[in-house]
Amino acid sequence: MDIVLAHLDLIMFAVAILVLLSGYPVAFALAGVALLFAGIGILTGHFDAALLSAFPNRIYGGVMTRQVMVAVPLFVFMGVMLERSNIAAELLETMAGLFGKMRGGLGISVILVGALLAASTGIVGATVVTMGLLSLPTMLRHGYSPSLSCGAIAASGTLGQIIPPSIVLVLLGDVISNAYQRAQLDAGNFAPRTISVGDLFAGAILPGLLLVVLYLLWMVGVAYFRPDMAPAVKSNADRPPSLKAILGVLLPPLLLIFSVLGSILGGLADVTEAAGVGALGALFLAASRMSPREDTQKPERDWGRLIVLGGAAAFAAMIALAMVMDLRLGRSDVTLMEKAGQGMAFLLVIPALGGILTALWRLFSTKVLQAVSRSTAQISAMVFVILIGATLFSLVFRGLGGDDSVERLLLSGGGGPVRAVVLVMLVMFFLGFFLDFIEITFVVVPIVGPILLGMGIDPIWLGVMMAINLQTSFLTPPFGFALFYLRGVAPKEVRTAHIYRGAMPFVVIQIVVLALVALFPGLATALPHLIYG
Amino acid sequence: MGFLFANTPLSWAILWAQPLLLLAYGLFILSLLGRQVNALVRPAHLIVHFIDGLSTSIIEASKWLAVTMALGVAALVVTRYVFGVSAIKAQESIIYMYALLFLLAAPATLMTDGHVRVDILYEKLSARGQAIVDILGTTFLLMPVAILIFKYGGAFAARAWVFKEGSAEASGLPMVYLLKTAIPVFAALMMAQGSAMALRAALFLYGAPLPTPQRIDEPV
Repeated sequence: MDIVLAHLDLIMFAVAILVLLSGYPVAFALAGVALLFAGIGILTGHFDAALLSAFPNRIYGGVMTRQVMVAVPLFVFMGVMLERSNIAAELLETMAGLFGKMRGGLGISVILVGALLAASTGIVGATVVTMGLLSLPTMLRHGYSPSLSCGAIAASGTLGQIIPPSIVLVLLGDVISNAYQRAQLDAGNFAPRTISVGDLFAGAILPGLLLVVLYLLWMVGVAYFRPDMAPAVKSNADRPPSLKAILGVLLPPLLLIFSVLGSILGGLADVTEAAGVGALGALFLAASRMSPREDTQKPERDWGRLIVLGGAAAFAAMIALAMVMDLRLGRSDVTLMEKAGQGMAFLLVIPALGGILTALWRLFSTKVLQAVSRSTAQISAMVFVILIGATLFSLVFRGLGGDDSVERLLLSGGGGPVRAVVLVMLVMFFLGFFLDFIEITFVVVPIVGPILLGMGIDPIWLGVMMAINLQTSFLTPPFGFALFYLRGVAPKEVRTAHIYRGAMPFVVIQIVVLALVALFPGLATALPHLIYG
Repeated sequence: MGFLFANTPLSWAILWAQPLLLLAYGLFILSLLGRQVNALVRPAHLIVHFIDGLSTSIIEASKWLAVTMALGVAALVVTRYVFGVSAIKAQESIIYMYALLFLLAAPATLMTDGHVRVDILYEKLSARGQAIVDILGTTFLLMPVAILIFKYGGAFAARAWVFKEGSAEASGLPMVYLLKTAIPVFAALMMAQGSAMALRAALFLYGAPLPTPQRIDEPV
């Protein structure tokens, strides 16, 4: 009995996994098991009941008023809005027109569009489902092997986690940043260095691009050696898309990605602000692509669309103006030039507001705004209720002495940081089979993070490794999440075995990149150091 | 009302074994016994319908916080970056919107099964098995946690009400006590929606027709 009571923390972890498997919603399964073990601990004197009364304060301070987390609903809003604006279909069509005639060209377009979409929406399930619905039938119709098609779609769909701006990197970045401060405080450093979500964004860029390049190389290689698996699209007489068409489709999402990423990495805005700008950009983009009433006759010129585009331009012009001159109000030494600039900026507010109102009206009258807001609210609730549940779980786990147990597990047997990191990575990989990124980030990282970072491991490197590791886990048969999503939308003739076989080469690519980042940490750390010094 | 927030076994028991959950167990047990007591079905329907309606109205109103948040942050970027003006009140109002957005959407998300499940085994269960998981999970996982948040969160909010706690910043919003009140409100709504979830599962096991879920407009 004593041995059971002494290991309540680890038993709680095991019981939590069993209860999670019952299929009851994760947030309450985690919190419920934690509360049960807190009760056992209180009755047997292994847990201090006073710790539980800190829970509301944790909900308030650690969830409801956690500054960085405000970015999450904004990124969700941006992603859902883009998903509803049919941008994926048009991107794919244009890219296929561009590359389709070459061997493997369709596959290349799918990977490129997946990467673009991933970067702009950052929602894994959404990307895999959209790509699966749009491109899988097309690829099969043109004679692509089902396994190659499925692998390419599932793999490029998971890129949403690693290519910034990604929601999971926001969550992971914030949790790692807290763990880093904790590790330094534990080490007696009361002026700790900090890292930000922006650091992790910067760190993930090179590994993310490396993955895209290797995916593309694989596709080209297969097309070269096994043309039957990735044939050229049979010419059906239509000419490749014009440059104007390509730019028209490609430019808006690229601009959106660059403005969001650029403003964070350039130090102009914090993650939340950039997410807000991204959400507004997605609003403009979606509104400019849909007319309010499909059934009415198309007018000669869609004035609403022009007003929306004008609004977006005015908004961008205001920011650009502020970049070249100092427009801040309330200063005494304003030059004539700057006065003119301020006046100009004020004037630009009018078309910007006009554009926003028109965009809102167009999206409202087509019910898109309602649907996007509702999805945003529900996805945010899903994320943050899990955070609340995981908060109680960590609170009880710590209260039962779980920190010490994990530290002993990680430090025992020698091997130092390398063994500890490998151990944590393996555990996270297997947890990735049945827990989503969010749960693992909220439950595991706060527990192991301070210990690993206390060993002097670079926090950005650790974050990027964790992100790639989990992405690999979601792609690995038979339990990978991305494969389930794809299975859900794949046509009947595609067998589950096709999906599994197709994913394997991409899993190998993932492991190669993971190994490269492990051996050359500079891949993850060089860019943040370059940008932030 | 006050005794519900007190931390005594009695108040825990009263909140836990409340009439709605008892009704769900009544139907559950009757279904196991194969008895038909149809007088219980109609009230159960009405209750589920009422709670679903409440959660739906709340999310239909609060979902707009997502739009106002996005526009608010974009506006703050312009005022701060372009004109160099920043207002702590405005920044804090964004945080309030964010917190209320997810807290108030949580019950409707439970209603539409939007909270993530680990479905490796769950999806292989029969509809009966899934209903039993939902009843037991609500009873032993969701309810105790919601009660904990309700009681401790209630006390937490009550302390903020005593002196009408405001922002730590001098020029911030003087409404922290209201934001903290959202915690027990969230917990109470989750208790209600959790009960509705258990009732719905019990009605299914009982073999009664299910209350039609509240129509949340399908995405276009």
